[in-house]
Amino acid sequence: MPPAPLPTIVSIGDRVGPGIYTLHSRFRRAANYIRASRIVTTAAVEVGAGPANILIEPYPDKPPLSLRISPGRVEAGGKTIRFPTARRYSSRPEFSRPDRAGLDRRLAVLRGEILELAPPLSLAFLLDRRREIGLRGGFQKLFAARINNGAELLLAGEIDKGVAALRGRGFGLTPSGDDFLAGVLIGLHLRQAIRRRDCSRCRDRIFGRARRGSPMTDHFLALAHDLRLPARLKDLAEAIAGGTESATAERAADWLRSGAGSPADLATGLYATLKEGERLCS
Amino acid sequence: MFVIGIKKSGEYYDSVTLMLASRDLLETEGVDDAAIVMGTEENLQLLKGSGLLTEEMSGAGDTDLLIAVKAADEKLARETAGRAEEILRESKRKRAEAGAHLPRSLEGAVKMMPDANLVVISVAGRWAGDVARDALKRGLHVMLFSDNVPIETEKELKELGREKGLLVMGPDCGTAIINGAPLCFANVVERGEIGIVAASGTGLQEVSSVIGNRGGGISQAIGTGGRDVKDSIGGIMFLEGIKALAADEKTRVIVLVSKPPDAGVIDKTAAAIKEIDKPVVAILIGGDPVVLKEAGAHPADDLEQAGLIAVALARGEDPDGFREELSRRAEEIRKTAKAEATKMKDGQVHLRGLFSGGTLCDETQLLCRETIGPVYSPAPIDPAYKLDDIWKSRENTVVDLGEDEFTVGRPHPMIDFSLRKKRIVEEAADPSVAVILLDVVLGYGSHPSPGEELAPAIAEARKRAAKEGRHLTVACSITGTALDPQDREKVNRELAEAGAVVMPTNAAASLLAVEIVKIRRGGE
Repeated sequence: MPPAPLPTIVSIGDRVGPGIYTLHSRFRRAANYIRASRIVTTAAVEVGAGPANILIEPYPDKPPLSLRISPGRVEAGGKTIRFPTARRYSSRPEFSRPDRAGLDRRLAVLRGEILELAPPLSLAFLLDRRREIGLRGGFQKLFAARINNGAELLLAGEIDKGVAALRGRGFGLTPSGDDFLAGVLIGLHLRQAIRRRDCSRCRDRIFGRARRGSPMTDHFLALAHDLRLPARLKDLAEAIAGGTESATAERAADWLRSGAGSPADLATGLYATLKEGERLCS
Repeated sequence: MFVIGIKKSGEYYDSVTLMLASRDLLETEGVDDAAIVMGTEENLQLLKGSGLLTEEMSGAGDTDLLIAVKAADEKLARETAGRAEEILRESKRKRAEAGAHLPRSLEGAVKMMPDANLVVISVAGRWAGDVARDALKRGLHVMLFSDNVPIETEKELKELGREKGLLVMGPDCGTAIINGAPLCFANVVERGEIGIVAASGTGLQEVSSVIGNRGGGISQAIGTGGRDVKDSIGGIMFLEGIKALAADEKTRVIVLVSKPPDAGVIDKTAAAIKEIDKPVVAILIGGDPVVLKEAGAHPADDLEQAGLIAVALARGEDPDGFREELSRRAEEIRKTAKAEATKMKDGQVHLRGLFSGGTLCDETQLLCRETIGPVYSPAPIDPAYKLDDIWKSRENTVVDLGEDEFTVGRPHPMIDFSLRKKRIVEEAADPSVAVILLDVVLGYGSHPSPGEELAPAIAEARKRAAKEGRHLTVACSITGTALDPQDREKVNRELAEAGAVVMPTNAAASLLAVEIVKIRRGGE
């Protein structure tokens, strides 16, 4: 039998810090590891580069229970994998030439992509109320009512009440409401870049109120607050800031296809902030 | 009501898996509410607010999966919660299998199956053209399920296909039967001597089902996508399909199914028919078949007739032989209509058609126009009868729930009946409604148990009407064959037991509906 190929690190995010991390949660193509409040994710290449992602090829069938990360190397399951600095993924998008004039058209494209590609029960119902017809039973209807209420309050500038209604609510390991809030934080960065308006206090307040002491969610929100983005979302943010409409469409589709519900929920928050966030950061 | 709660630690699923699993539980009769969520504090509040919080969930945290079910009794609640765990296990297993076997590109698929000669493409419209072009360059026939492909791309692909002698079925082609294999939404019909070229998906399904139910068989059924018969495409694949069937030794009779083609395409089709020495049957829904008749085709008035003429021709029988039989059936339908209408209350005069098949909806509109006058619709034949609000019927209304405006954020109504069920009950609440007309389309791709899905809504609608002293007729047609995976007889039985009047075809069900309206209007 030929020996198994040695794993290679294809990309390592700029938010992956040194230390010993232990397994938190495991999926088919990825595993989350935790150290205090910090999270890193080992993942198969198709998951894509991200600020805290370590992309490994071939991805192991059974991820190890712990990782030791040191400068230039990752030790796991008795093996040491070295990686050159050049494989560091830079997660901060560049908004070098923001274009305000075409923003509405690019946002219309983004909205269209969300409505076309978002899964049936995602928060895209905030962009088209007809999607609420798909919600069933008292729990889902109450959920939708709270989310609707939270989004309205937040976008009206009622940050504390809006965040309280949204955070932690919904399905999935990072609940839909938290995904939406991450989109809002990223949307505020974009507003700042495009409209030249300082939104940092607003972001800080949202982030401060949205943290719940849940390592996964807090980590996820912190990355959004600091504008550290996975590759597909970084591409989308750059296209919205100053790209063409076709680039926005392609990148939005690429992002929305990258996962089940979270990308659509985040994109909904991002869109809502750019389109209707005037009173949120005025 | 009994509520059961389960807490499971260390199990993670994405949000859509959890929401769809919750929805699945909610479909269970006797289940009032259900939720499957992670145990965040805020989700616990939501569970409490909807009466789903139980003691078992106390102390739950962000990494705990919570399953809650509220049902009519304890046994049902426990069974449903157990099923939730099964659904989640199954979703994990399916993902693992998908990860192991599914190719990620056309290149990968071709490597897995080097002998394949046809590819079905179902990716977003703006990428579908590139994949289709690649497939054609590899010598593969193409079935393009995707819609939203630009018209220029469609033309380019079809010209390339014609040049290479390959079929390009679509874009927006949902039905075909190739070498006996039903593709996408298609019915199971024995192989035989009748070939179909169709620019209409449900039209193809209805005609092929009629042929199958009459004992005939299909050699090939080629879908082209609805735009093919417009002048902008020029009928490229409609004509290539006719040519292919004309050359096919196993095809003795050719059936053409389409909404009215543009004039240029009709002329080209007529010219093609003249070159063929096989009998051709043509059903152009709402179109004037005079040019094709002059070219030698047998025109049909509706989809059912097209299938019956084709079977007769394939057997060497009189193509008009069925007319007496249909005339007898029409008499029976009139008697049924009279019996139904006499049970109704004053003021019950209107028809409401709720369709999942677009062509069937058009067919009904045409029959109505000729008998009770134009009907309101989001896509009416007469523009003056366009519904202002697609969610609200008025007077006589027929609606294709498969139209884009109804499918935003939900699967097609042949798969997901939730919108139609809701609307059936809403229509029943209108005291002016005499008859609700439904199509039930069987076959691959459609809902596996349409009878079980629709029956409760039909029964509920009739019950509500009865409470107000009204008799409500629900007329259903079934498009499908005894060989379809849903079991046509079972579906028929389930609908009939719920109180529906079940008819073998859309033409028959529509006739029943308009006859009832005519009688209720008085004296007709």
